[in-house]
Amino acid sequence: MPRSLLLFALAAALSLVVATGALASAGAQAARTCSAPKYPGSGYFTSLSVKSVSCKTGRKVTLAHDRCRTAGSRAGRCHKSVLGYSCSEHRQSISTEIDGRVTCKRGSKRVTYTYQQNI
Amino acid sequence: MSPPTDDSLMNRFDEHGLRRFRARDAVIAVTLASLLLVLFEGAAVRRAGEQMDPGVGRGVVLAVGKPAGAIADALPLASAAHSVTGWLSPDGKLDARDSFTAASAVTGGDAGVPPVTADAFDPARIGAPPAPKRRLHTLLVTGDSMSTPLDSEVSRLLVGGTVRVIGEPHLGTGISKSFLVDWGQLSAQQVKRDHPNAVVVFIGANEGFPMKGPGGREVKCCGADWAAVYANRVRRMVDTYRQRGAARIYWIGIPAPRSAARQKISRVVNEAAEVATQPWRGQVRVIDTGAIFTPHGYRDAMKVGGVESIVRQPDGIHLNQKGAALLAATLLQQIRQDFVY
Repeated sequence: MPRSLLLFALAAALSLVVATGALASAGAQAARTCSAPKYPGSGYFTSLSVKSVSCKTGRKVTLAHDRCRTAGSRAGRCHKSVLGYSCSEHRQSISTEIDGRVTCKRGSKRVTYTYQQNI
Repeated sequence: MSPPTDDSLMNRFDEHGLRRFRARDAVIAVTLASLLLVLFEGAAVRRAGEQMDPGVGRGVVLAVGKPAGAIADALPLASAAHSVTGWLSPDGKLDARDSFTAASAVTGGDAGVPPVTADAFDPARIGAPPAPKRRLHTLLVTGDSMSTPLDSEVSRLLVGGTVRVIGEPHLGTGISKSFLVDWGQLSAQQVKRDHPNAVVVFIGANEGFPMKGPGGREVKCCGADWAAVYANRVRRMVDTYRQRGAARIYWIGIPAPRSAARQKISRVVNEAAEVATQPWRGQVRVIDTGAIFTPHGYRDAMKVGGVESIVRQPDGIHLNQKGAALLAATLLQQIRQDFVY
């Protein structure tokens, strides 16, 4: 086998390995939907999705953030990190309820949940 | 002429020769006027009497008015007087373009009044023969959290039959908000996917959010402007679900919630649903749950089958299993009027 052909085959195999690894890595980091935990009050967790983390951890972070959020008052906000995650919230609220979308990040790990809470 | 014995001053005319008429002349004038009144407007005296409240006065006026009216009716004088004096108070000229027979006057043209169609009438309410019952194939029970456990109770009552029951609650959602889902889009997707020929919608627990009104301005709950925007959204959903008359819709009103703030919203939501469904009352039944669960305001419990039972969940918003079972039975009574299954 000529040397140039051997080098070409080697390069092609290497590219294949790198491409497969990249695809696998991307797959591991894609967000996936989980079943949301039961809301500990009057309302619902209406969605939960996680990225680079298990659904079980996602549910733990969700509940921990909700506890932090409602510790001061039912319509309160959480300004601390939760289980090492830093969270931000976007909400719509009226006198009777709050609709919120919370995103918690820890490095590449991400937990996103939405909730509807009756006040 | 001897001086008067009382304090009458009538003699001052006689002193100067100014008296022209006698009392008899006055009596003749009044009699003549009365005669003319009877001949020309006798019917008016009768009409005035007929419009009076019962009593002695009415009896006296009618005693005169009835014969006076009969005389006037028999003569052509009243009609002639109307013709002669009509110019004193002419009627406004009527425009032929405003006639009922000019289609544009009612249903379009510049007036832009939408037409009322036969779909707006429930045959039962006008004594017309009911539409023939159709076979129920697919029943969709959907809405927000209010629609559960109603969906499972309806399924339970229909179990073993041929009806396919689809329960599709979307918890925490609302028509006045699109934070989680847009019900305009969702209703279209449900119809496209399932083609239900009966749709039960129980929604309204999470309403009261500001919405974009005409011109894109934000409208806050809960005045007539907000009700109109909300009703327009409901109307669009209903039009989607009814599938050009191929399906029947059972829109369930919200029973009064415990909280006063929520009562304010649910009242507007229920009224908006009533208004929104008017064009298709032959195809849409609005079920008044207030009459069942909260006829005199919020209550946790009521008599069900003769036994006092709790029918609401502790949140004071939702129906519990018992309440949902009662509503499901009421609902199926309504569905049986339109379908066989």
